[in-house]
Amino acid sequence: MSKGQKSLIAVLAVLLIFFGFVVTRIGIAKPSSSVKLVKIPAGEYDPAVWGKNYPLQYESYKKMMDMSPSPTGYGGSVKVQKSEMMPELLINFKGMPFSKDYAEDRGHVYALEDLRDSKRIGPASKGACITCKTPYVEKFFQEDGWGYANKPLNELLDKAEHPVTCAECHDSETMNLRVVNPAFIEAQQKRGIDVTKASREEMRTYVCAQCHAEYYFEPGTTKVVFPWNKGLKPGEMYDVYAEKPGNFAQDWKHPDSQAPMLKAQHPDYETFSTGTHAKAGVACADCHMPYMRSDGQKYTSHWVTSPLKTLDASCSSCHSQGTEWLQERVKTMQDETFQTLHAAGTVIGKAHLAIKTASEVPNADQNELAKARELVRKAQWYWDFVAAENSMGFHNPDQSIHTAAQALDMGYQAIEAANRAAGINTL
Amino acid sequence: MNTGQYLNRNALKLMLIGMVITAIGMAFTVVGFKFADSPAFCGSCHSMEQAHTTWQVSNHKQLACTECHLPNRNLVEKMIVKSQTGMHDTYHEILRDYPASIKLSTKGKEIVVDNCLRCHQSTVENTKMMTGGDDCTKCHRGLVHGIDKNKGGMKVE
Repeated sequence: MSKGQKSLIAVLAVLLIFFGFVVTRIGIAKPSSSVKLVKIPAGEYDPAVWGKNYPLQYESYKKMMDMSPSPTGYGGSVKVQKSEMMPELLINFKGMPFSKDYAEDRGHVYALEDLRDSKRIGPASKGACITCKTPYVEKFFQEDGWGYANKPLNELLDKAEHPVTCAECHDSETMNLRVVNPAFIEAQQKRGIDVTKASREEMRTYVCAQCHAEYYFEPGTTKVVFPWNKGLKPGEMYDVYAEKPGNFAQDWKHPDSQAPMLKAQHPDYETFSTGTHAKAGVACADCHMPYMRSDGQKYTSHWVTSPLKTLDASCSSCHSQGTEWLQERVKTMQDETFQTLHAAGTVIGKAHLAIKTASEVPNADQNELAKARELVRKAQWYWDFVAAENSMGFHNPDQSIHTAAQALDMGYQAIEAANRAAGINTL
Repeated sequence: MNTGQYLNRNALKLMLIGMVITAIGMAFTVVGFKFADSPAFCGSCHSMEQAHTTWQVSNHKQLACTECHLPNRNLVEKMIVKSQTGMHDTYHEILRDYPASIKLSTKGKEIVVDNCLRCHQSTVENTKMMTGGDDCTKCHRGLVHGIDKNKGGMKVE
């Protein structure tokens, strides 16, 4: 064999290997287009067990340990007191646990830890508090029905070994989406919705909605109830509370104004469901759990967090303006919501004091005082509906700004009523 | 026998062999070119699955990928761009580092818009669109591949 022949063979061999590799990698050994089903025993709540079979999903789930601030400055996964940004919280929640500790929530993986550490929790706390912190609620409910809600929280905390994990949202046999929170299932039933018949697209919202929603504890039983029977808007839910459902009249009495107050609890689903994204058919998971790729394999991100942290994957599949433009839009909506909200919260704080001052005036007009208390209760509900919600308006910008503005208006009306009660004429 | 003599004696045979090889080569090139120009070829890459399936049900399904995504004003330009983008795409297909939703590059968009006009010029020629620099896809985005490039999700099986 001549030198020429040898080098020809060598070149051909290199080409064969190279193109063989290209063809194999692209055409034959393709990344999988589907996820292989591995059944997990029912009642397995440890995410590490699931994670062995669903490594991409589990790896992204573990990113929830990340404690980083929100890129726009609202929300975020850092445990800071919300009152640092909104000092009016301390005045408006005076006399109730949220004035002692109102920390920003961290990721799902910290749900139990943060519950245990919260200063709002004590030996008297009821089992109902664990409803949204762990899939063990499935077990508790299977064993005792709503009886678990009235047990001491500490007793259930000892049994719950894992925070919000896979089983909260997935059927272990089929990996289909499911919901476990009995309060959500019952609330949807009352609205005529059977969650077991929901489409996959609806479930991509319901799995989040089962906890990211407003609720109250039924007096006596501590049963968790969502006030949804009149609708999901702030006014519609207020109307439910006005009727004292199940004898629930108030969360606490404000020590200054003596008004019977309500505490709103993260009405994220309610706010989102009437907003533009929901109406366009977008589900929570579309933005909060966007599709990612790892080595060509598509998977759903289980790093459930602010979509601002996964902005390109979350928004760019529909919005083509680029991440900088998009983030600026979100920040604008949030800034403007915050300014209106902050103004409203501050005025409501003043209203509580005004009512207190008016009530100390001899021969104060009791009728006007009652009106003022009703106004401050309603104003604070509207304000809190936006303040307790986790998106600083983004989930439904127009409604949130409107709600905050209504709160601001009612706050001033409460002050005016207090003035009338005290016999002071203001112009 | 030296090379000269060999060539002289076998001239006819060699010419025949040469012609057969050339014919086979040309056939391969033509078939290869046709195949590389077909949607089946584009869709054979994992990263193009979504684009391929959405195109199949679109109102532009009678057109091949390359009719919109490569310059079609002259063959030389088409071949140059095809080689460039082909190598670029192959490289990333091998590395598997493409994102979940793939977007058009600026150059890619220019090519697409130019191809819109190849057919739809008469529709817009009396409008402001013809002053140039306008982007058809700004409004007609999602026409072929849908607005949500990630629709569909994943199968568990």
